[in-house]
Amino acid sequence: MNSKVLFVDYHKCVGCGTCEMICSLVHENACGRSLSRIRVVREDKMGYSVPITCSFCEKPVCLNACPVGAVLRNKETGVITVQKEKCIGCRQCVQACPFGHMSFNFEERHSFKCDLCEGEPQCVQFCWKEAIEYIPLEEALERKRRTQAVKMIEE
Amino acid sequence: MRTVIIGNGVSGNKAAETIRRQKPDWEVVMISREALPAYSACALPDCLAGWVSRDDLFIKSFSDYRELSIRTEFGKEVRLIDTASCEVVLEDRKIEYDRLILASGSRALIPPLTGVMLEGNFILKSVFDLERIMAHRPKQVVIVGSGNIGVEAAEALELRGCEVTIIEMLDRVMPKVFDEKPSAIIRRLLEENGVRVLTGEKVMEVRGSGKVEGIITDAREIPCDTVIWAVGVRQNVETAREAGIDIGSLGGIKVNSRMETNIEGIYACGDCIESFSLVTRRPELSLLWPSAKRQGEIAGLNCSGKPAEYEGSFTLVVEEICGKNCVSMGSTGGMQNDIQLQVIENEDKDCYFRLLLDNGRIAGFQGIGHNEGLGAIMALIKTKTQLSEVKRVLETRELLTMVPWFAGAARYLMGGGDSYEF
Amino acid sequence: MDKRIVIDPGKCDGCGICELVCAAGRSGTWHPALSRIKVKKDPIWSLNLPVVCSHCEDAPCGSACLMNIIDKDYSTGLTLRVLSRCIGCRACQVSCPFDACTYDYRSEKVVNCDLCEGRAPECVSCCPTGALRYERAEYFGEEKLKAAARAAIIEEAEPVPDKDTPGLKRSGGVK
Repeated sequence: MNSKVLFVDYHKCVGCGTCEMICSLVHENACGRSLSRIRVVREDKMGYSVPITCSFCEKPVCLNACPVGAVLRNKETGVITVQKEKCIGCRQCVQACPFGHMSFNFEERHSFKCDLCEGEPQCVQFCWKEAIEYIPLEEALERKRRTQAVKMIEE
Repeated sequence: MRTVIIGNGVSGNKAAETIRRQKPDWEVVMISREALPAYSACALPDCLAGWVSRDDLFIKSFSDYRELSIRTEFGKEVRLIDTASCEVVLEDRKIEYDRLILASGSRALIPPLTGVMLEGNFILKSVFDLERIMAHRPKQVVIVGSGNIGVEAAEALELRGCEVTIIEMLDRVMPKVFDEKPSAIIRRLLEENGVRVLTGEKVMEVRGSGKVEGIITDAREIPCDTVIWAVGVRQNVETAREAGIDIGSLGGIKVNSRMETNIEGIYACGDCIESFSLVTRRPELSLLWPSAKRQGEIAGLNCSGKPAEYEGSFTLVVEEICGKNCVSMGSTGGMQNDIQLQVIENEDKDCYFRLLLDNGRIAGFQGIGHNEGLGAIMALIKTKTQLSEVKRVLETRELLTMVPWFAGAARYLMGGGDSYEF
Repeated sequence: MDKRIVIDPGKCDGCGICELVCAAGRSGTWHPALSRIKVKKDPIWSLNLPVVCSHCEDAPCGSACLMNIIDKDYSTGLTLRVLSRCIGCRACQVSCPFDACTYDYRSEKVVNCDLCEGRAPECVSCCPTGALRYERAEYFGEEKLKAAARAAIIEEAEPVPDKDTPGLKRSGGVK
């Protein structure tokens, strides 16, 4: 079971959208936010930008929501993907995902989501601010604990 | 690039439409024995009953073929397939092909008994059969076989005022798709509707001089003027066999999951093939309209260069008998009698259902009088979802709003009671 | 036109107005059994799940149809039927995972939602809680993305579902 996660540091994200361009380019051969799996939510008035990726939930609602078994979890890697040949385009998975991660390709008429680029996520490779990393879960948790500890000491 | 399709049923038509959509510039030729545009053979009993007109049976008109740029060679027999020169030889010409799709379907069987050649013996497979039956003006009808066609024809003729008897060789009606208990309920419904049902009885002879006057079984003699044979079909594979195409042990053309035969460039789909079950993965003859349609689509996709895999055929039978919805889907106890399937039954007022479980997943469902949530059950069978997961979501309602279709299955999975009547 | 009726079950309070106006508008009678949108109601937990035709691309109902009358209309994007040739076999109704087909017992044919023939769907206009919306499916995702982002910033943690996302509603609770 793959124990790496996409770890996002929201403070580092400047909202450039390079990850979105790369993701859509790699998967769809075209640059476009609507075709990107990773989506950066920009709140310019508030001054933040937050990349949202797939959480790869333990109880994936998208998988259950699919009535034809097109959303599957790979037994070895644990990665959840959409088999576009099986997808009937009902968009129940799009409605189901609580984070709005699951998207729909209006040209090809099927859903799509993050597939971790077969183990080497490209958004991670190309984020020049290193706002997104692909690291083991333990390391991610450790970093969070440190950040929290520092905050507590500073207060 | 020319694709030749032998057969004008739903399988051949779906293959043709699929190729046309993928490759607008390819040549598509369809050959058929019947000089008619494609029609729904499933609706023949409905037409017999008078619920649908003969015109409405047709799913295409001749002009539809022209609009799709499909060249038609209808009313012609295929003499042989020459795989060496890639030619289909008809009675009046030869047609070269780059790709060939065999969608020759099946023909209804009549056992070789005394009296089957008498006037008054019919099958119900084509529009011509329908016309012959109607022209005969049946009054006392014996229907041999209690599958879909037999039961539907019985209801249709009973509605037209005929005296109808069904003779089934096996021990229960609709034996292929219903197990004993639901089958017994269906039998009762038929009998309440005035249809006489005889099971475990074999037809020995048709009696009469010139025309049908009666039928003799191994138990009795029944006077009648019409016999409709609904005992099964045989695949139309003789020409394929002669051409060197492999035929499976069940009698259908052997294909892989891409509908490819053993000869490159030749595909097969529909009634004429040996398919495999989506649920059990075992070889089966899936003689159903939706299977033929889907197989035609897969053959058309692979033929036109777009690889596609067939997920397997799925049995779905929906019959309205005396106003009650009788549904069978997936595997039955009879189909998998070598595997221990767990049976969950429920009989409630006028409704009945049974779930057949295999290792915590639904393998099949049979229901009488139920109209809701059946699609959810079908989705659970096809996706082979573990029921423990579904039950957990339904019991705790956790995340149910995100998977609302699970709720449809609640009444069948949660042991009845109001709390799960969604 | 790629708009669909997007449902937020968390906001549905089970009033059933959608069923009534649909039946009245499309079937000519105020009988909920003839509505194309149905609200599956759970009496114990007061959970309400509206279901309506998703107009799937590769619809299971179309695959099952014994008369081949169900097809995608590529100009409107809807999955439509040629009702005149429907024989009422109900194969489509049995095949729809969402129970979105409705059997019209008067004509003995099966019908489905046609998004009010491309006009603003009645059920959406009349829904008092906003549980039904008429928009492209991806816009629903956009809202959730924003909510997830806000939560992430506020909580400085991995995104968690916002309090307004669809979830459990116990009986007696009012949103």
